[in-house]
Amino acid sequence: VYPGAAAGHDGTVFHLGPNLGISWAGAGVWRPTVPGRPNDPAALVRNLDMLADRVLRLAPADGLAPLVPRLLDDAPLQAFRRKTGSALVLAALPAVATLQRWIASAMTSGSLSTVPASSLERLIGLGPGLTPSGDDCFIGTLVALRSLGWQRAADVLAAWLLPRARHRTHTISYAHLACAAKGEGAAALHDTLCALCSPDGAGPGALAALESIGHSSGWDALAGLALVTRLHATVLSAGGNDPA
Amino acid sequence: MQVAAQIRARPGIRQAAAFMGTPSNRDLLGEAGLSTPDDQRARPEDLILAVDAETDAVAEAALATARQLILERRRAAETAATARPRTLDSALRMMPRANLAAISVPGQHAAFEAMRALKRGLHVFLFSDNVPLQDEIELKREALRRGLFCMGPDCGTAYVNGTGIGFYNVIPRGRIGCVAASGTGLQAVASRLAALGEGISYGIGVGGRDLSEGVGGMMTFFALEALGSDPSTEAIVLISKPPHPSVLPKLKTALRGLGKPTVVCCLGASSPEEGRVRWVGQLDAAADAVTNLHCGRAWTPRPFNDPETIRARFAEIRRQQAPAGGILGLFTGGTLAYEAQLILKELVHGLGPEGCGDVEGISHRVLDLGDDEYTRSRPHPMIDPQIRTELILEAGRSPKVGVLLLDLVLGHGAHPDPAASLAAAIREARATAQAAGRRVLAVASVVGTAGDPQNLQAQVRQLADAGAEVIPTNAEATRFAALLVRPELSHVLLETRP
Repeated sequence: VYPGAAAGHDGTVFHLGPNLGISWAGAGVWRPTVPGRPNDPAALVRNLDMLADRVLRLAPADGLAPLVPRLLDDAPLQAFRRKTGSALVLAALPAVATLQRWIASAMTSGSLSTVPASSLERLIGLGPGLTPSGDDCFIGTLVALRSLGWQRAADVLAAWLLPRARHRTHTISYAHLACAAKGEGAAALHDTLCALCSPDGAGPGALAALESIGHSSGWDALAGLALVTRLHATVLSAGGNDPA
Repeated sequence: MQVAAQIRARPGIRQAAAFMGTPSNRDLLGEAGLSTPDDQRARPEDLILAVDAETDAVAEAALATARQLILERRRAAETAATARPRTLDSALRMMPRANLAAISVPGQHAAFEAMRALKRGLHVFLFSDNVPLQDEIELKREALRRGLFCMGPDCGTAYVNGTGIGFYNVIPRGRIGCVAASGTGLQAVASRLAALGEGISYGIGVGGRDLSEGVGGMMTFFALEALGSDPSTEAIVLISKPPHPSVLPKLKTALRGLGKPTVVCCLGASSPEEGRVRWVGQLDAAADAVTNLHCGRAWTPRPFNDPETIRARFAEIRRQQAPAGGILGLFTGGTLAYEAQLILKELVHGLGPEGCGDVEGISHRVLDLGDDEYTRSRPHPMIDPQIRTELILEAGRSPKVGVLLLDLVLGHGAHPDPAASLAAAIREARATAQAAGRRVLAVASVVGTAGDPQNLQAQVRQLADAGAEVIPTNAEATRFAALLVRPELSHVLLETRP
């Protein structure tokens, strides 16, 4: 393979230049596991609390991980002590809080206001790593919205996000975001969500799998997933809107 | 990110980070006052490496190193791409005459890869665990149909044609063939055989579930048959947990038909001697028995092979302050932990079914630190000693622990110098206890051979220098630990008056 070589596919083989082909004949299609609808909101809240407790002990100081316990706990983000946050967390905080407010209003009122562009834009492509922490957070958010049935909110968020991400982040991260917009993320992310929605709680295995993704990518995605799942639990507990 | 972490660890570096040149990250740099004209030109596809150092010179040197590291990584990746096959088929193209595939992939994919290897006519060494039972049954059926070995799943160790696979000790080739359901069990027996001047012809792992009802001993029977007809194998050792009752009669028939001296070590199960088949209760006894029996020498089990030395050590320890607490076994080898539990259950009251108990305020516990509970999100304790170090230090602070019972497994695959951290932890725990007016004793055994890369003698010396009693085998070490907490056992174990 050399720069400029033609790439294409003939239905079963992906060709890269004249000499290399990758066949997917006989490959299975991966479908992410879909969480069962939690019948018991109290169980979901309990699972989130258990996970928050575990995360508190295990979360690294890198990326957006320090925000995860608060997002799982539904604690006000504004109260995050400024002196404890890294420059990245402090830069991300207003955008994450905005995202949280927007999703909360989408879930409770059912009305989908315009995405508050100016402050959310800051999260796109923000942070270290090949997939910047901010992008991972969006990935967790979109996967959780799709998996938990908040399709319209996911549609609106994705329609706002993807055109901007084209210019504000790099190609590989954009590809991840485009998959997440369809509800597809790393298997560990789906497994964590399923574990949270199961009656018997989130086992330590789910978290271990998430931790293994990238340097801090798993934790950054967990931030988005935690944000959505906690709001979802609050809505369910209040007997509120059905996402569908 | 790894390069950034390496740079961060250098002296004089306050902070280092690697990120893509996205607008948000460029703003972040600007807000931190770290912006330069260069990074403001960066695009989202560019990598920015930012360093905050005590002096400009330190920063420049760090950036130069980072560039070097990235180049090296790229070169390594390119070399690996040309030299290392990524699939079974490309590996076979590179080595068309290979007849064995060693497979170590996550459990859920392992059966698929193993089946693929079998279908290409390869024997399989399946290191992976967490393979579903039904998959194991199908793999072994397929292997038998093709006359191939499927060693594992969860097969830690094997010796084939003088080559060790997985975690293994350096053992001379010899005349004893082993079939083992446990990796550390095989390592312990093979190392003991080497110490006795013997060697092994083959060591065939079969996986921990082979003698279960579901698998029905498929690979054990196949391996026994192969060793029975192998001319280089003069005697056979079988190492396993007790077979399922439904498999036992068939196993006994197979053993009778081998026609070679055979020693069966099914930890926790026993059976009367039958023809040339002898059942023993411990791993060291298996090696000792087969060494003697295949030469036609009589052999009877003894608590200690060298009772004189043990008696002397015991007497010397008894002259000093007695340990007040119970035994805490901290094991890296699962089978060694299981063997210790079985022995202690017999000798020391107060050892419950899960290896812990509490009688008259003294409790004894044996922990297998290789168990899932301790290895989640961290390497196996044979590779990373940290978990055991923490527990030993904790034991030093606890009045409940009087004797630490420890194993140390050497060989390929294990930590390069496992005794160093173990000795340091023992020393610190003993000192902590002493400062509190208590006494903690450490009893250890080492599985290893003179040929192992860690240097067996040096490893033993490090432990002894830290004050540990190093006893030749795990079974003897466990009995010695029992003696220390129940001196009246010397009547039985050392044939002396307490």
